[in-house]
Amino acid sequence: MAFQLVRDLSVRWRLLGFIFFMLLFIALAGTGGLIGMRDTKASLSEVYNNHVKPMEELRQLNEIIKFDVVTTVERVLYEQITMNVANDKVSSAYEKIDQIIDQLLAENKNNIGGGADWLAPGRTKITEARVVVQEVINALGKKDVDLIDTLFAKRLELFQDEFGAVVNTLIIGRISAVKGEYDKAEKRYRTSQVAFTITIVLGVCVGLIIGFLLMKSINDPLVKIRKGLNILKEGDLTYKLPDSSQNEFGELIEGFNQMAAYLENLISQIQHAGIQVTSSITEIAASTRQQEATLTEHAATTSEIAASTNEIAATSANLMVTMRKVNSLTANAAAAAEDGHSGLADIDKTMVMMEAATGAIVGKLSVLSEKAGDIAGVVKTINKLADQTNLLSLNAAIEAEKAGEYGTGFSVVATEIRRLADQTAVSTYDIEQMVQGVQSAVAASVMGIDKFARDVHDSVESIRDGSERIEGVIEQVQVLKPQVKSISEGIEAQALGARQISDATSQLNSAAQQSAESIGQSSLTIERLQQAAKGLQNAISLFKVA
Amino acid sequence: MLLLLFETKDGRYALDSKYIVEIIPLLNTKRIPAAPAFVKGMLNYHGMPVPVFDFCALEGEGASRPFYSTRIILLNYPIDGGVKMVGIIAERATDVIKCSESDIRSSGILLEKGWGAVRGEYDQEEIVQLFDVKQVIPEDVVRELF
Repeated sequence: MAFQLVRDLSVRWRLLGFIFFMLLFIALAGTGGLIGMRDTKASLSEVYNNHVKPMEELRQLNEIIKFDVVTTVERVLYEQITMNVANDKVSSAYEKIDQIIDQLLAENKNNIGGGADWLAPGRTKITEARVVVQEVINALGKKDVDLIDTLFAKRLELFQDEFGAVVNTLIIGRISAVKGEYDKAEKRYRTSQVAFTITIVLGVCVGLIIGFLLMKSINDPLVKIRKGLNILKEGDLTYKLPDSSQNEFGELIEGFNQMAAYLENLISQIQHAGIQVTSSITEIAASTRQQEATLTEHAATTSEIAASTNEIAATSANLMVTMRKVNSLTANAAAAAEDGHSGLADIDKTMVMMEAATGAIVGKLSVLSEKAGDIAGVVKTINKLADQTNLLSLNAAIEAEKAGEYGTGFSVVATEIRRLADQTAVSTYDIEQMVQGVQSAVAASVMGIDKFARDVHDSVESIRDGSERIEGVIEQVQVLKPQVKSISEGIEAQALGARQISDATSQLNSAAQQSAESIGQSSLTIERLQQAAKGLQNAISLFKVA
Repeated sequence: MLLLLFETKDGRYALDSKYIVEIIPLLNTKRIPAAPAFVKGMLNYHGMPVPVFDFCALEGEGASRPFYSTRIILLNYPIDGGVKMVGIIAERATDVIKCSESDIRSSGILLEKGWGAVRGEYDQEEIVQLFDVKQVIPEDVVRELF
C-alpha cells in the first residue's frame, strides 16, 4: 500500500524529498562540526590567554632585568659606559617592567574566576622588581660608584637569581596547566570523532538506499519507453505501451502512445502524399521538358530579335544622320519658301496690273472693232449706191443706144456716170478689203488678248493659289522645323533606345540561355526528385500501419 | 453697135444691146418644177411672168455666184416670128462697149451651138466672145416654157 503510494508520487516530489533529506543530513553534520570547532577555538584561546601569554611576559620581564638592568650596572662598574647613559637605559627598562607587571596582574586577576591564582607564589617577588630597579635608578642618579657597587653586590645579584627562580617556577606551572588543557581537548576530540563516524556511515547508507529506490523508480519506466521506441524505430507504429502509473511517466507513456498514433496517421498520409508527389513530379518533368523546348525556341527567337534590333539600331543611326540633313534642308527650304513668297507677292501685283491693262486694251479693241463695223456698214451702203449707179448707167446707155442719134449725149453722161460708179466701186472694194483686214486683225487681237487676259487671270489665280500654297508651305515648313527637330531627337532617342533594346535583348538572350540551362538543371533536379520520391515511397513502405 | 459685157468663171462674153430690155439686180425667182437645171425660175416683171436662165449653168460651169455685180439681163427672145421676154443671170454685168460690125471677127471654130465672133481689140490679153441669143438658149426649151 505504502509502496503504491510512493509509486504514484510524482518523480519531482520524489527527487525533491531525496535532495531535502541529503541537505538536512549535510546541515546536521556541518552544525556538529561547527560546534566542535568552536569548542576547540575557545580552548585554544584560553590556553593562549591564560598560559602562553603570561609565560612570554614573564620571560620578557626576566630578560629585561637580566640584560637591561644588571648588565648595564655591570658595565657602569667596569666603566664601559657613563652614568648618564646607564641611567637612561635603566629608566626605559623600568617603564617596560612597570607596564608588563601591570599586565600580568590584570590578566591574573581576570583569570582567577576560571581557575587557581597561579601568580600567588611569585607576586611579592615580581612587585619587588619595581622597588629594586627604582633603587638602581636612584643610585645611578647620585652617580655614586661605591653605592652602586654595594647595591650591585649585596642586592642586585641576589635579586636577579631569586627572580629567575620564581619565573622558572611560574613557567613550569603554566606548562603543566597547558598539558591539562590538551588532555581535555584530546578527550573531546575522541568523543566527537565517534559521533561523526556514526553520522556519516548512517547518512551514506540511507542515501544509497533511497537513491537506489529512486533510480529504480525512474529507470524502469524509461526502459519500457526505450523498448517501445526501439519497436517504433523498426517501423511498427501499431505498438502501444501499457499504461502504468499516474505520475509523469504515465503522462509520458500516454504521450508516446498518442505520438505513435499521430505518426501512424501521418505516415499513412505521407504514403498517399508520396504517390501523389510521384505522379505530380512525373507531370512536372513532362512540362519541364516542354518548357525546355519552348525556352530553346525562345532563345533562338531572342537571338533573331537581337539581330533585328541591331539592324534597327544601325538603321536608326543612319536615319539619324539623314534626319540631321533633313533638318538643315528644312531650314533652307523655309528660307527659300519665304523668298519665293515675297517674289510671288510682287508677281501677283504685276499680274493684277497686267490684267487691268489687258481689260483696257480689250475695251479699246472692241471700240475699234465697232468703228470698223460702222465703216464696213457705210462702205456697204456706198457699194450698193455705186452698184445702183452702175446699173442705172448701164440701162441709161442701153436706152441711149436705142434712141439712136438722139441719145448720143445722154450716152456720154451715162458712160461718165458708170466710170464714176466703177471708181467708187473699186475704192469701196479697197476700203472694204482694208476694213475687213482691220476687223479680222481686231478680232484676232481680241481673241489673242482675251486668251492673254484669261491666261493672265489664270496666272493671277494660280499665283494666288501658289502664294497661298507657299504660305501654307512656309507655315508647314515652320511647323515642320521643330517637328523635324523633334523627329530628329526622337530618332536619336530611338537609336539610343534601339541600342538599349539591343543590349537588353542580348541580356535577355543570355538570360534565356541561362534559363534553358537552368531548366536543364531543373530537369536533372526533377529526375533526382523523382528518385527521391521513389526513395521516400520505399522508405515509407517500411512502416507498418493499420 | 453697143455690147453689154459680162463674165463667167472662165470667160468673158458680150451681148448685143438690141435684144436687151432692161438690166435689173439679182432678184428671187420662183422655181419651176420639172424644168432643166439651167432654168433658174420665174420672175414677175410688171405683172408679166418671165423665165430666168442661169448663163453659167448654160455654159456647163455650175450655178452663178451671187455677187453685187451679178444681175439679171431681161431680153427679147425672137421665136416663131414674135418675141418672148426671158432673163439671163450673168456675173459682172457692169460695163458696155461701143463697136462697129467690122471690128468683130469670126473665130473660125464652129461649135455645135454656133458661137459668134471674137473681138480681140477690146482687151490685149483676153478674148471676148460675142454670143447669139438664139444659139445659146435652146428654142425648144423656151417654147416648152411658154
